[in-house]
Amino acid sequence: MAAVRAYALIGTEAVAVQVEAHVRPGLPGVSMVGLPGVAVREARERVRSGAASTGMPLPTQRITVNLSPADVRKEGPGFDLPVALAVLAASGYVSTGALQGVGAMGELALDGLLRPIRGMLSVAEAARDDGIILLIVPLVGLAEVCAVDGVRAVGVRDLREAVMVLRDAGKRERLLERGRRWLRTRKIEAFVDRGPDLADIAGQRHAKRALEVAAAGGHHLMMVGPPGAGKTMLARRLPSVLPLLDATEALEVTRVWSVAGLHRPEDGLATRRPFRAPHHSASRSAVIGGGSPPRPGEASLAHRGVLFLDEFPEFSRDVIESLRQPLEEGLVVISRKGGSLTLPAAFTLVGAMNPCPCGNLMHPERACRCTADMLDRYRGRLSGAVGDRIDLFIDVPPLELSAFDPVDGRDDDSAVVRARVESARSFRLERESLLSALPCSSEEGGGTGRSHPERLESRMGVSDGARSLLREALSRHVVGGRGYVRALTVARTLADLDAMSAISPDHVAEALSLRDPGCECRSLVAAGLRC
Amino acid sequence: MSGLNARGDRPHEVRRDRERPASSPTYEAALGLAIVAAEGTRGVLSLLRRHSPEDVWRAGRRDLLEWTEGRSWVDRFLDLRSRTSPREAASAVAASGLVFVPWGHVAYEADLRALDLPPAGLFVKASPEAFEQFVAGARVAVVGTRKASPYGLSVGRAIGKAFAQRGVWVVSGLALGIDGRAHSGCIEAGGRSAAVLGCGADVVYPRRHRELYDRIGSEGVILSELPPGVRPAPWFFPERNRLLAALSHAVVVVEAPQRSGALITAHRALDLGREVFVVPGRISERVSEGTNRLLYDGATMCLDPVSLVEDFLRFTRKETSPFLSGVSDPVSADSGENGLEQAGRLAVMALSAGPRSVDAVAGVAGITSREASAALGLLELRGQVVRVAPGTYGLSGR
Repeated sequence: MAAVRAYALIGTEAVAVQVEAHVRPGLPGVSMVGLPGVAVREARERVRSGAASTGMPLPTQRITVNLSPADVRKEGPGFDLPVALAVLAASGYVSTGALQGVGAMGELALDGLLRPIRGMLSVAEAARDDGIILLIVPLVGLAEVCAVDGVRAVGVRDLREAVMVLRDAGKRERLLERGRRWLRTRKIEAFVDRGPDLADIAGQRHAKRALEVAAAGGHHLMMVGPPGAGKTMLARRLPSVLPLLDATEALEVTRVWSVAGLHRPEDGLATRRPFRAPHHSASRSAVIGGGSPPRPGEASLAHRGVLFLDEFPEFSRDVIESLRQPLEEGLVVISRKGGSLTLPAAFTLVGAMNPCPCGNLMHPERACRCTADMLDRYRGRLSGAVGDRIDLFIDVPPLELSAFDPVDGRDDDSAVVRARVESARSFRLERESLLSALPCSSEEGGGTGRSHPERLESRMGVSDGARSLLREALSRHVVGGRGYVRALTVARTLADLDAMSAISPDHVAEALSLRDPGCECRSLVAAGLRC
Repeated sequence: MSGLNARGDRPHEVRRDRERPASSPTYEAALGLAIVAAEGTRGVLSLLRRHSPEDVWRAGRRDLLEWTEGRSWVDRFLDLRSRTSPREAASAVAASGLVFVPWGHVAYEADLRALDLPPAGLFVKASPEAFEQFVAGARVAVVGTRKASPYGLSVGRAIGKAFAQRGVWVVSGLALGIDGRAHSGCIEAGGRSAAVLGCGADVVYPRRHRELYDRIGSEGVILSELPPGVRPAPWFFPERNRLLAALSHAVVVVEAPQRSGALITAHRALDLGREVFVVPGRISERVSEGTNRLLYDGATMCLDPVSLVEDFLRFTRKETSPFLSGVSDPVSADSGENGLEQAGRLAVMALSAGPRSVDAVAGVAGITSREASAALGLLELRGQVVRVAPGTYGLSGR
């Protein structure tokens, strides 16, 4: 009997699977046991042809392949290479001892060539934790696999090279060296594409400022404006002002994208923050993840990046409500009859909506034909647990108005804004680490309902002038309890951007202008009535 | 259409005592007519201009056909009448907490008898004192579209307030938009307001105005010609508007697009010889098309709330005494926030020429976008500016 390690994907995790092969007299053929999925079962044919094309025809005997543990369902074509190696070892082409401590993955072509598979990063991490001595991977996937520290991986082009690696130590070293060389040249070639730049947009400084605040404080953002005002253009540029991915984040992003089959393995680790913009007709499982076997949804694909929901109120209530968990906990749990699965989903939510269903409400030239009820229902979608987590609301005026704005000088490009965002974030970290040294910090956390204003204000560092302004806003019913907390946290972010430990009245006033203007009509506050 | 002098001949004597026993024949006949009219034979109300409610209620088919020159609804009326019991209806009215004010009440003398189809009676939700004051007082209807602009809403409220301060009853329809704002402006200034509904006076419509309904019901007057419990229906509202016009000494239209209900009120008021005041609007706005057309046709323009009230008192020759001295100005800006206050002053100057976006305010005022944003946030908090369009701020009315 011969055995080799393989890995099955469950969500973004890979679990070890022992692939065993046994050859005995009997009717010729390959039978496969151990809960193989359809694609794994079909490995029989690819292995048979691949081996024959490589000059190692399988013996005309009974070959049994077992995948252990037998109760984990195995999916995908990644088992082709391990099955082939186990079968070839059982058939005597490779010594069974050479497979000791060896892991493998890859899809076989009929001529023996190896193709990359989904989730190679997760497999590499599992292999490292599993104590694998040598991981045999498709050459194209070497960059992705080698992003994991502590993995000894050899990239091979085809089944023949994989067998050579196991047979011949000298050949193995040459192939390892080829892989290292290949990685070095690739790194030189790789250039960093940051995506669209903020400087591409003329004017809209108010909205750009809001993007900067959202990036600095990790606030979720809602943009309200008529069609064509540039909401999507602005949202697409938020990833470019977020801090660059650090090593851990890059691994997290790559893991999800690779499992979803959206990552190009030759790119190694992801360098750009994701931007995902599902259409409003998307289903719950498309957004949150699901299917059989479960795959990551848009929320997880946007992990560490931006999830943009254009036409926010048009999304089904089910989809919007399902975003509650990722917004609260930064992850999604998919529960199925076979068990539950946890996927990462920490993203910045950016919503965009028209001021009313037809988009023309209060437009200087066009007429709105929506009824008060339609408006109510449209705006109503914003309420609830998800709407409550959106801190920033900005109006994006129609182009006709902003086109006449006087523009002086050039606006900052994304790199400049990103530098400010990064320094605000590090200022915040420093401030919070000082704060946690104080004895009262054990009180923090928990729901907003428990935050006593005084305690919250003292933790945030509110100046006297800012405090009286906040009190005024509360007493005039410009903000309620939740709105107060939101205004305060936004003001804190504004102060962090200025590297100030105390929140000034200016910060509060600006935070108030970035709040939800309310329903029906923006002048309700002025009219002194709520609807 | 007939004018004011239609009240000419008076075939039966008007009894003025309010404490009419609920069982009087006039009361029962009027109540019966009100119910039957609401169920679909409104035409019968036209007979009230020449005949007493009792006569109409008891009239035989031949008389009715003769009086109406053979109208088609006569048989339907007879059918409905045979199935209506005023005595039972009277107890239903009592149970609903409303008071039925029948034909012949003093409220009818000048205001309602001029109508082609005068109501057989009014179902009223009010204290007896409030209703008495309502009947005796100066009354102005303030009406407009449900989908008003921020400008219209703030003007509606200011007008409600101005009339309240001179002790004039503000009458409106409790609808969303201008109506609601006129009511609440009046109440906030300590005035009395009356709502004329297009449904039963005990039905809260629109639901969102529950609070407003309760306040008007407890301090002012809510009335309708429809029996208790009748749900609102589109065809009730034009009829409600004629009642609104007839119960008021003048009509102020704040914002109304073409073919708006508020225009119906205005035209019915003109038919009755009432003065119509109109708030001018921007010519580019759909909600101003109807009101500006009225101005073009010769309606009196409202220059500002205060002179509007003066004009109203002069036109209607109503003597009133203010029962309340003006509400003090709540805005008292603290000093000590120099940069912000200065940016605010510049922003207000930048907005004096008209509404602008945040970025445009920044450009004109020579301040940065974030300074403008902060300044406008503060000014909005203080009620000095409003958002008039997405991303666009304007100065608030006053």
